[in-house]
Amino acid sequence: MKKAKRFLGVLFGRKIVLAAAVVVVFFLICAVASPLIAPCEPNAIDLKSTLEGPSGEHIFGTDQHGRDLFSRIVYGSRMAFLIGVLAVLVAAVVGVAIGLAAGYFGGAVDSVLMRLIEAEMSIPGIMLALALVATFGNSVGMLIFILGFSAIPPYARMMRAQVLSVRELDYVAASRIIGSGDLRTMLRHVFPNCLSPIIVLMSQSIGGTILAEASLSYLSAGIMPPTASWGKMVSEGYQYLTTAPLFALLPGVAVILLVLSFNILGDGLRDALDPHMRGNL
Amino acid sequence: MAEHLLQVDHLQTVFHTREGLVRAVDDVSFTVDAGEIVSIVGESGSGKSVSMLSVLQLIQMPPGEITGGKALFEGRDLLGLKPGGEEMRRVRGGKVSMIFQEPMTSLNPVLTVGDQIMESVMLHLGYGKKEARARALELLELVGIPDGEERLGYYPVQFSGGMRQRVMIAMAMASDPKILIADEATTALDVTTQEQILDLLRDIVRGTGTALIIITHNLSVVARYADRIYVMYAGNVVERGTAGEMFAAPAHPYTQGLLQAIPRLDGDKSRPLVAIEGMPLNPAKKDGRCPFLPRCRYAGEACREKPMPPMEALGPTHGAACWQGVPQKAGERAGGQGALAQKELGEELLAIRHVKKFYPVYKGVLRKKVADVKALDDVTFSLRAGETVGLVGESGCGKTTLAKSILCLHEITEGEICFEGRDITRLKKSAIRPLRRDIQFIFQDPYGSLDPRQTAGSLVGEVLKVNRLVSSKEEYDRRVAELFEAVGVDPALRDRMPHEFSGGQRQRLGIARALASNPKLVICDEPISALDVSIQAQIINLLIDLQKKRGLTYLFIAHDLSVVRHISDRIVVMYLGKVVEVSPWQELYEKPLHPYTRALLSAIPIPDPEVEKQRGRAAFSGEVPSLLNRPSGCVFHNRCPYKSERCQREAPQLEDQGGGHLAACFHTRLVAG
Repeated sequence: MKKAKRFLGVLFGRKIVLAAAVVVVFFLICAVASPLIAPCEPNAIDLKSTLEGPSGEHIFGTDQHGRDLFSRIVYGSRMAFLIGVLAVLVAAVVGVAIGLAAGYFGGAVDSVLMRLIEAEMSIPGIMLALALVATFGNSVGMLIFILGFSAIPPYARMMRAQVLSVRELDYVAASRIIGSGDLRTMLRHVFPNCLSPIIVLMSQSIGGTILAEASLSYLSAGIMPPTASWGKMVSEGYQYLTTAPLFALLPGVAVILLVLSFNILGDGLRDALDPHMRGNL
Repeated sequence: MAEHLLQVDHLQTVFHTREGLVRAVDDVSFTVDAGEIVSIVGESGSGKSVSMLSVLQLIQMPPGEITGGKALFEGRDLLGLKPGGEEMRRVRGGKVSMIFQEPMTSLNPVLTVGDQIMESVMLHLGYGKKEARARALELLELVGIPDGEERLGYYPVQFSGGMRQRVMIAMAMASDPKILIADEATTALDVTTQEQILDLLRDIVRGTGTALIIITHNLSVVARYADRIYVMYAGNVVERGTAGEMFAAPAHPYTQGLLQAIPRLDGDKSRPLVAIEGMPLNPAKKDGRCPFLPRCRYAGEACREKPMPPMEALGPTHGAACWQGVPQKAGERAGGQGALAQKELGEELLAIRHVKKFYPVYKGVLRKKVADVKALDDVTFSLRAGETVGLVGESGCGKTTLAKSILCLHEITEGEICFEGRDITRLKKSAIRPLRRDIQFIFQDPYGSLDPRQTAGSLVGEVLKVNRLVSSKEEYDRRVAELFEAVGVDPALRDRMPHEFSGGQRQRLGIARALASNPKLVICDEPISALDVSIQAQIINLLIDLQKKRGLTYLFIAHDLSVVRHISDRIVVMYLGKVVEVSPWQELYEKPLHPYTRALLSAIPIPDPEVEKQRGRAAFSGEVPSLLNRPSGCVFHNRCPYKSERCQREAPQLEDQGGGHLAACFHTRLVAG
């Protein structure tokens, strides 16, 4: 318990990290309890009041179909978390595992795994996504898979590079000398010491993934309308930027807020996981 | 006013850190005259480098701040100049220049050596290109690099470490400086190279009248080269004097302690190293009293109550800062643990027979094998149970490769390594793991060898878990606590992270980890060379003590012969992958039979200027060649003063010269004199 307390002490020692955590938790609550927070049904069309500005009835105004923007942003957080966070997690877990194995074992394992990664990189992401959606249909699960899958290479490559440098350190040799097997050495001594840049990469790519979903939506390969998603709202709203600026602006602000918060939280997490910081508090 | 070339008075430098104010340099005064070699000696954190950097205003400000004092250079106070101003820049690198520790990284790899020297010349002396080139040639000659005309066009990679350090010296001398500062300039070099560079520096100083300031942790180096010495401890100068005074009658308890703690080549081995107990003071924790107080065995009432003692003159040049009337105790020596008992040796534990380890070199598009790098070439020797064998050699001699081979970390090309009579070189992975309990390893670098993300307790205890040596949580806790106590670390610290320990303590943790599985053989790879001088003796004594208690067998690897002398029963000397001499320790020091061993012995300075003056020095030239350019015949012939035509043709074999003293040389009689 002392360890957990110390960890949290470092993590939230900086006020900005605490603020970022509050923002992330706030959006998470929005996502989980959308029906309780949203004042209107998000998909309820009201063609009499399209592209309105803020009013007592619609505090953020309405979109081109007269749907309540506030409610749609609240419901949109669900997709942001489902796709943004889950896809990044999928990519990171698979990529890190591949990078770890390739870097640690080297030789043939390394060659085969890295050629696979390079093969994947050579396929344009959008083409792959369109092909997969055309074949299997575009469910949310499919989108997570597609976006996650196409984001694997940077994780694998970064992890491999980290492992290659950590592998040569004395304490890894020490682990082998005391008789640890490969798995133990890899998971206990190599993996934790390679993690810092991976965490940063993860926190940075959440935003990119949300926007990637938007571009898929643009090609009708993303979230099926009328389901609300921030990325899609931005891409629809920019056409009305002069007449109803809030339509594109507000979901954009939501994306920026969430992405920024994840970045700050990622930085904080990296510091809190650094043993040097732990001793000083 | 200015009687001295450089006169530093009451210099104070502090660093503002998160842990509070650190007084890195606390009221330091020293002087340097033209043509003189002055040395500032101290351990890490003693403020020796920061003092010099403060004088040149090269410290980072903030967090650093020079809070007081003067630094008069040619009568002008350097501290009054603007740090980035024109005048300061003309002093820095111009009138005062520096050489640093790392010759490998301080030269720009994409520019030729000539360009870099000429740049320095043109910048400081305002020469044109042609004149600069002429000057660069002169400088190369000055630093003893032959064929200057051709070498000017070389890139740094084409030079060896020692040669690069010579180039650095040439660049530092480019501006005809009044003062040359060598900050640990030879620490990273091989023993024999270190000697050559220091000789060169001394000759330059004698020839040009430049003053030389040697900043070092190595008291022995100082004895051979310095005229005057300042000893620093935790930011204070605790003793000053000429080299003769300092070594004949050290006045400060710290200086005395240091002189007893360093392994030396003369004197008898039964004199155990007398360690200075405790750890160097963290300058952040200074309380205004004598900084050496917690470790001083003469500390009295006065020391505890009065503030930092002032520098008291003991003669025209000699002085010490100590409240205890100093000179009386100078002759006194604390008793050690008594002579090392004659050891009972057991059966042969490890036998290394004709071991070869080659790394193939490929070239061209087709990756054709063109040569072998012979890291180990027919190495044979053995260890008996309870014995300590010292393995000595400079970089590239194969000592670490051999250690890795014994640990089964890589496969050898030929030969066999038998542990308890069984060849362990061709075992399967599953058969190697139980072996790991019996053969353990202590690393050189106490920082890199401990996983920064594990607690001290789990680092030491992991061995027990991995090898299933304990059956319950209680037994585990008890064993870990035992191990901590065995190496002298408080078991209460087991939840700390490695970075919270000092270097010496970390090395103790590394030793505890090595001992956890009750090994029979422990390979120590330069276990003290990364530690502070006052800590080294503690670790050596700990290793000797543990051997007595646990009946361990050590293979002790070192790069010079002074350390192994205090711990070894037998010594193996290696050069370029070959064993050149094996001998009982006493004989090796009294009657070395291989010229390389002689070179190594003569390269080590003895911390006593009187002895130094009388010692004959063997003349050896050159540096350790790359393994790719191994000389034919005897590998040492190109540096050997005894070489004959036969040495170039034929490689001498290791032969018994009587009494278990083996040497691989055709001219052992000549060498023995």
